[in-house]
Amino acid sequence: MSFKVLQAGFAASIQDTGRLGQQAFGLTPCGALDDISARLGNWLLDNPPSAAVLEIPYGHCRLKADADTLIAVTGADLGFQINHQSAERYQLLSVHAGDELCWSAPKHTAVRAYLAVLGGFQTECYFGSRAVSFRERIGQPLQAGQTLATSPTDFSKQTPPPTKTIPQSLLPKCHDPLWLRVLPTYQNERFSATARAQFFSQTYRIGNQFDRTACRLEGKAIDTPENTLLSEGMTEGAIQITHQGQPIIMLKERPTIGGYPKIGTVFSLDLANLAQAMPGTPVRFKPISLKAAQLKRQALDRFFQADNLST
Amino acid sequence: MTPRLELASENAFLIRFAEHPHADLPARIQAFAQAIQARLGDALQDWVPSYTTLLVVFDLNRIHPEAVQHHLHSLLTQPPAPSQKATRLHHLPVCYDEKHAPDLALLAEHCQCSIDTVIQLHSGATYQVYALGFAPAFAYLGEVDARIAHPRHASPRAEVKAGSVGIADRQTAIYPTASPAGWQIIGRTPLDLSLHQPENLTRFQVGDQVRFCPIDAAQFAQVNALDFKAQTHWLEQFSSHTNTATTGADFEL
Repeated sequence: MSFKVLQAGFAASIQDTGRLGQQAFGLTPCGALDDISARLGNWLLDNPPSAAVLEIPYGHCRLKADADTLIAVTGADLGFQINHQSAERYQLLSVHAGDELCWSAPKHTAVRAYLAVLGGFQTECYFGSRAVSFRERIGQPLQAGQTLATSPTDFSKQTPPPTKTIPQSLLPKCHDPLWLRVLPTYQNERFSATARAQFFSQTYRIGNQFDRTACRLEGKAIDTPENTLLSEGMTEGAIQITHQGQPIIMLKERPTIGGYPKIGTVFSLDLANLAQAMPGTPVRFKPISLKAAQLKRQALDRFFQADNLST
Repeated sequence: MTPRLELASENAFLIRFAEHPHADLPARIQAFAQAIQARLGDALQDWVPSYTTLLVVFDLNRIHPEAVQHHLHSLLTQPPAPSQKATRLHHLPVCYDEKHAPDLALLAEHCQCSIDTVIQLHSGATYQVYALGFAPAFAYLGEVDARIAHPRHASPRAEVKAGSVGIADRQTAIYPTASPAGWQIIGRTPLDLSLHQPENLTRFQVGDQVRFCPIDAAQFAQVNALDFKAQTHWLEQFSSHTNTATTGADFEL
């Protein structure tokens, strides 16, 4: 079965867990920007965690189903409707041949919705992943008129996945300000005590340069320790400080190496909330201990894994 | 300095081997990367070698962070020896003809040498891959002879053609695809190095060696017109020929 794209939206794209193990060759990892919401959609459908989903930033997207299937919509509230009727997010929904799915615009502050479909989207795989890369022009962003293939599951003969309840803690959170927890990594100790204090005490704002590659923040400039640094491998969430003293948080489509000094790394679970924020959102940083970050990350991964084992 | 471990995220360490790049480092870092792949197996999610560092990203649910730290420390105490026979040497044909080399004449003028000297110095050296990045399969090669080292353009060109060969300070590189570029473009390879050919992703790795072999504009046109399979075949013959000859310019298609 498939979905026909009636309206393509603003750079909507197929994403999954991304391309791991190929950064050594300079290939950006890619993947769903709010990976918690993307994982929850697949979790509700009992899909494999790596199943491809549709990432829909800011709405303006309409699809038409050509057969019956099951879907789950997660992430931001973009006024999701089926056949012009409001439809629920975070639960399994049956769609039927001819049904029209529509995401209009953000209803609150969160901006990215995810559509997961039974068996996952079956668009073309490049380097082990279906994730579209805008930077590297791998795959294509959604185009009106395009057909998005999904698994040819015989839905009528399949037992529907069990009903599951989403833990409240995993819903997108829109705090004002958005708090991001930071690990002291890379060149953290080479920043002056004053620079670090300014970094943690001021309220930044998300600038307009915020895409799948990186999120630029605007605030009072802080001193950077050195002007030239040899490019080195960048993790997801690495906070580069530009020569102008402003932070850039590296996201899923980051270049694999970068040469600005890094003051720390945003804890990976908080990047899902950052992915839901829009330009202008106030952002604050606070430290997190390595142990706490590791335990929280393990607990989240166990939540998804335990469920996969039980099914 | 002695190599040290730095935290990079809750599931990643950066190993810093030295403060400054050195010709010995790419092979050492590559050997270390291979050893850590063997030790961590599926628990290793990703690794990124660069000039003086190696980023190691692991799966927190497959291995305890302390176990990773233990492996890294033990490999730092007893570093794996770089393997000589594993080093790959690439011969890459480059046409330095002015129509493929928009910056060659000015670079020669700035460096106060002839165009032929620039070509000789650029194609006379064996380079090492120090890092991959900026784009997939974009290999940073060093070191360019100091006599023809030249800084980047103050503002980058909007686009250079796929295969363009550039110089930036003591580094040289080939743009695998058409892209904006700040480097001084002194030639162009006729080979398709883009990801349209998936095997190009792994063509270069840190520690590999590269030699540029001058070809003329007619050869460029001939090779450029070949499909990827034919180019690969051509390159095999070209490389075995250039292994015994000093220049590839007299090689017939």
